[in-house]
Amino acid sequence: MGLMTKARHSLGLVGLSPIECAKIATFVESEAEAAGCPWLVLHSDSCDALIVPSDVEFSADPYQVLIRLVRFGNQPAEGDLCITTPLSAAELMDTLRKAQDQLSSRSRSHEVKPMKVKMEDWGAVPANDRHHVPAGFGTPAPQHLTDGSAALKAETWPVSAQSSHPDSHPAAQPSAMHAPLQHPQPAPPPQPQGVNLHASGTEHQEFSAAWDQIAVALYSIVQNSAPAVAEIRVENLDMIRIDFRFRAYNSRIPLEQVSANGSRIAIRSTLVEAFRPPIVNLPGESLDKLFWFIGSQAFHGTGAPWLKPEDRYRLRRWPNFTELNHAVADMRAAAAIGNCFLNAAELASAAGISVESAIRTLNAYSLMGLLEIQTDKTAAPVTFTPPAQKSGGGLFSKLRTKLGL
Amino acid sequence: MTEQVSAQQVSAHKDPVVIAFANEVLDGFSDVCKSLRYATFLTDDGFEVASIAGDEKQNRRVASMASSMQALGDAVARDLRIGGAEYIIIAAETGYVIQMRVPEHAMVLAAHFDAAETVGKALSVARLAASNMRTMVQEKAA
Amino acid sequence: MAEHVILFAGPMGAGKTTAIESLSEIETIRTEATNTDRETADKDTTTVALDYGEITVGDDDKVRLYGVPGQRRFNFMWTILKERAVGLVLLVNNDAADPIRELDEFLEEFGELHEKGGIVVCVTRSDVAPTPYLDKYAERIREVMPGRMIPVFTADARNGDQMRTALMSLIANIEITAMIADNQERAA
Repeated sequence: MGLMTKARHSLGLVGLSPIECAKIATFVESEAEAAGCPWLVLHSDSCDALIVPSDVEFSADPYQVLIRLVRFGNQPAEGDLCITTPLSAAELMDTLRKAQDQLSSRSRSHEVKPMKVKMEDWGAVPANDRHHVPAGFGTPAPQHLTDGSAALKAETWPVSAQSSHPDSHPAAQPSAMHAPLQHPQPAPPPQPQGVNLHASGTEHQEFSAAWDQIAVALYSIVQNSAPAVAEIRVENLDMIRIDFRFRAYNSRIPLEQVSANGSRIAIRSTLVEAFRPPIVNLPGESLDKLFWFIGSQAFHGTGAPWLKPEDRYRLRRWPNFTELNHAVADMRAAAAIGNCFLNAAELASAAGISVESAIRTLNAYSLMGLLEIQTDKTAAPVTFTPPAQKSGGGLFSKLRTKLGL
Repeated sequence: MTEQVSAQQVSAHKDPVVIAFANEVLDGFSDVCKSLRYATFLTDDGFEVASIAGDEKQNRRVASMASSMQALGDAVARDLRIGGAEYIIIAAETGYVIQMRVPEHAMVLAAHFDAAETVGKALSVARLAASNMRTMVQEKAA
Repeated sequence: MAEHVILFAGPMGAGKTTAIESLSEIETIRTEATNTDRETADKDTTTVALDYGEITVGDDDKVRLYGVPGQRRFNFMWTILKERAVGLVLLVNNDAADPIRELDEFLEEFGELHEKGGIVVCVTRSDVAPTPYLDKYAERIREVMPGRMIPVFTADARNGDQMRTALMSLIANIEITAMIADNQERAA
């Protein structure tokens, strides 16, 4: 099993000013450096805890802890966790400890695992609505999101150096962000180039734990549907630039050659006004390709933190295999989960793949936003048995042999 | 731009002059061959240029089917390496259909005769009609 | 020998003939005529009867690939060729005036092939017209064919690898759907 991430809870900043966001992110980072703060700061409203100004009407989900930011002149509401302006690290950390206690007690009583990022029931929301960017550079972001820009932390170690990007519009650059470092690790053996990076295959580069948090951060951004840009830095190089408004990315080198085990991997992201020019050279590469790459390899073969093992999933649409590095088994997996709701074990049985491959497939699909969820826990588990076939298998396997796939 | 070039750019089924020629040829065709039940000129890609008899819907449909038949005939001839398909005959119980290309033009004549006609005569009048059509179109172009 | 007839349908200029050429292991049979309808598709020739290619699989199976003409005036060929088909590769060019409407029209004509086997949709020319995105196609398919999962890919009809992916996905979908239905029947 791979490395465990330090952060155990996600902290969402909602409706805060950029300065407030930056201050909070800095406090959390400093604390992380000093004492290993268990919080991952995201600009998402679907985190374990949320900091929201006290004068903003907001209702948190039952699983969330709401922390109110009481600005000068406002009164705190009774019973809520509060921090006040001017912000101080001590007060913030104290409040976060209380929030952590609340989450821990809920976790004990309701068996809720920490590090939850809400996945909405897409049965009611067309997938396209989650991704579609209409002409004119995207839909206006909700006010509470455009007001602030929070840190997306891939790890809990800050770094001071940040490169500027004179070639792009300054307003479109990731700004209130931090490029944290990962713990130095022993140098891994060199990775083979151009390995088959399909979800269900057996050849997986061993992704470092930082990629898990990159995946969480990307998932969070996509869930927000707000116009955003991001930059994934590997070894302090801006290897991958993402413009979520155009569902596109640019990478300096082919994804297959991006270091899976780099000692410094970080993501920086910010919201951007919809009318700003793109930060990628359009048309760029499809984001699905990046999500497939990261999603199928992050989390070391265990389920992504936003997926619940007891839920079943079904594809909303097939992944665009013509642009993904895929294996033939991935087609069988897509066919299976495209036709009925399945959990990982059932998917493995239906598609004839290992459970770990099935989990990786689900991770990738969910990051790509392709899944709808069935939460009916009463349905009995299903085991699939392939029908008896003529010698040589079905047409699929014969064609596979014929076409040399 | 010359008039000739303009004429070539308008496809036959949209060119009123070509349509008028086709109607004239078909009228003459029916005059010399009483067993002719139906005839149509069509473009290679299945648009009706002009027809005698038949309703509008049928004419369009026959034009499309004749175009497909012609292309299939060409494909068979090509595959067997026997040269271009000169004409196609579909013989049925109560009549037959002959179709042939207007020489040197992307146009086809499809004609339905009743069983009273001999195939030989039907072929010869069909060939004459197609040839007349070619002459008229070429004269117009010149 | 078992025959598996796969149709290639879609509007004029979507790349049906080219797709069959990319897949066929024999020289394809083409029935093209000079295209006089330049307003619909600006190309020199158009298929007026059918295209034909094939892939022989071992001693027992032959996959027959038939392309139908894209224009509705040739729909008699659609009816003829549909009868023996067990699968459909529906190609829609993204640079069409209204590609989603084209999708609608062809699904209405050929949707029954999903019950006989399966359908896969290939969106071509998305390099020159990036939108509509695949989600739009998938969403529309859900609306007009609720409960059916039809793979939708972007594809370049000239790219043999991509067309093989589409064909394999179609067949995988047909086989797995049958397997799941079989299991559900047995469970019931």
